[in-house]
Amino acid sequence: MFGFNAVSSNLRMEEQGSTKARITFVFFIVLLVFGGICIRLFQKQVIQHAHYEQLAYDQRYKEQKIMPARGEIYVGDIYSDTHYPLVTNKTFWSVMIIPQQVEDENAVANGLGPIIDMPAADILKLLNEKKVYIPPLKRKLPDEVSKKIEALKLPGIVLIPETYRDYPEGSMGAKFLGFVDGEGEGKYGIEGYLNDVLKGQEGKIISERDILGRQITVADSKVVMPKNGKDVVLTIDRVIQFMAENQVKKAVEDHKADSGSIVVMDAKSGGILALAEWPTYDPAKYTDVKDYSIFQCNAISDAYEPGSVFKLIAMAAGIDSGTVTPETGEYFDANVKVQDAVIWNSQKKPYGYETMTQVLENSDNVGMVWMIQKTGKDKFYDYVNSFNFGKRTGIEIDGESPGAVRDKEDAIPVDLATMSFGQGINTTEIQLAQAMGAVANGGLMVAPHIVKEYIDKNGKVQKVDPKIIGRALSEDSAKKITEMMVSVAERGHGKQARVKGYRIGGKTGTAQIPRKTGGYETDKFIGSFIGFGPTDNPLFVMVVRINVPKDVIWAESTAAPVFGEMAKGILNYYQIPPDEVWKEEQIKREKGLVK
Amino acid sequence: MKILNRRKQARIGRYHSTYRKSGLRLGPVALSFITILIFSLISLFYLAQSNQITTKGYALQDLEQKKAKVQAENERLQVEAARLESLNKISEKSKDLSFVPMKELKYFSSISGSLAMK
Repeated sequence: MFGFNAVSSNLRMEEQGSTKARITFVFFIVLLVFGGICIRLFQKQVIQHAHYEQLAYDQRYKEQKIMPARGEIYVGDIYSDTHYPLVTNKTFWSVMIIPQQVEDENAVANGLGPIIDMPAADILKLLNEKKVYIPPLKRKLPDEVSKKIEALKLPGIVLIPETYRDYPEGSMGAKFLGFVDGEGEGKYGIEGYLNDVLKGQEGKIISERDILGRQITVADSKVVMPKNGKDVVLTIDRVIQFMAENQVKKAVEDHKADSGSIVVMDAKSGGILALAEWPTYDPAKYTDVKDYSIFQCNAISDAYEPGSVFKLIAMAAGIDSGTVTPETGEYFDANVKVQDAVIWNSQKKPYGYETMTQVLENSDNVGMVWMIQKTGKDKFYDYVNSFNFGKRTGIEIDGESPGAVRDKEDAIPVDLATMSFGQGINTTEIQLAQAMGAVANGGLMVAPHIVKEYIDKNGKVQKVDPKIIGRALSEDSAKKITEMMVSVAERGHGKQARVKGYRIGGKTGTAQIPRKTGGYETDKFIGSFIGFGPTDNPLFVMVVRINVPKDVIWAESTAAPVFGEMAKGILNYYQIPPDEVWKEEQIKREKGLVK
Repeated sequence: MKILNRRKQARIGRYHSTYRKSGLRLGPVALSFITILIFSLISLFYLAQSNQITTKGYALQDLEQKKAKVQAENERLQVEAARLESLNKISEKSKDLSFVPMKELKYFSSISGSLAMK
């Protein structure tokens, strides 16, 4: 018994020991697992806290962009304070199909197809592909079409509003406006130059959303309001612009020219009243354009050798420097030799004795060479600089060219001679208008600009003041040049630019086009006319350019008549009565009764 | 007051009495029940309010969408009005109405006195 008890007791003790060991073992296993969980929890909740917080935030909160409204562009006229929209924003519609929501595929295909002009079979094919997402079937649908689609009341068809630029005046001003691309960025023209001003700044709503994506209004939300773009009012007068667009189109078509342009500028403020070019394009359909060169505004970007119109600038240098006066005279031959070059006048016949005024009336290259040689290179270049040639005007249109002026140090005598009649120097029409503006403005040069004012969405107006660049020549010299220009219009090659009863001053220029291989084309010319009027109180400065007319060569027959028609139209529009005394004199001159 | 307990003390005639106020008596279970009920009522009230605000929020969004539609229609009409006022449109209309270009503009100086109508 005692043995049995001892054995039982030992067995019990062994069992107790084994049990204890098992318990301890299980305890350590639990401890290990628990420790592992704690470590994992620490890793997730403490070390990776920021990451999971962001994931949770992204799941709950959605950011929705609020697109700003792009600023609109307006023009005016002289008879009212109304701003007429040249460029505005319009809502168009894109139509999409959400395959998961379509209940009747045939109904959708047959209903939608005829409305959006898409074969029903094509729509059915897209639906049968069972894709999760189908891109928009058609974009830029007008309201009338969207209403027809809405009337179908078919599940699965969704209309998405999209804002595009709209042009109530059609293609008017397209060349200086530019366009807005599919990304909402302005390209070319004013849209490109003032893109940051017009675009505004995006806003956003960060809010908690439900499972359907709708905002939960009781939950937290943060709103950053968008800053809409500023509206821009241009200096353009829509009536003068309309006239200019019609005139340039007519001239290019009549003379079968390659292209043409007209710039009209307010003589005193430098505000551009019209800038018209032909051919042009429809900015609402810019994607249809194949030749991208049409997007360029040639009046500011296409520098060319201006030819005889530049004689006015060279003569201004001679007059203002005191080298010559309008009455200074000399005998001139049909040609003159400068270094190895022989320079001819355009008629290839000598004019004999001419005053400086007659040199301009006859557009005599030989007389100009004589005058510029007397003036000298240094003085000439001083005036080229004071008239700002070779520098951009700063007009608010993308793509302006500074033109090109040979460095003074590199200019040899033949260069000086040719520059006197507008060869060997490149200018843009806007630079010519700026320079002519100085003559019209008593010698003070004002920078051309096309923006009149900015208006923010709160209605606050920020006007753009005229910017005086400096004095290009004295008031007295400006008057003398003006009278010489009137003489050119009345007695010289500018007769077609005259308007009866009004003192208009101007100058023709028939420029040769340089060949890429050197020399000049023999059968291609650019006809220009620059001038201003009425000369006693200048209202406008105008530059007309007709490129490569096919029927006639001379600017007298291409650009000058356009100038005359435009001048007449502008004077009538402004209701400026004629000077009857001047009109009588003009009639007598036509009859040969006076010189 | 109700006497809960009375026991004799060492001195004759003196008793140690424990008194209880008579009236409503709430035990721990009842108190817990009432607390839970009150919290439930508060929660229900809060839920009801939140629900109402959320519903109003959706209604507000619907109204915002309607407002956007009306604004879009207004914008469309403004653009259409601008198009009808465009010079190209006026020029076309003038041809339809048989207007002709002006040949010559005559100016009259200001006249003092009366002006005959015919």
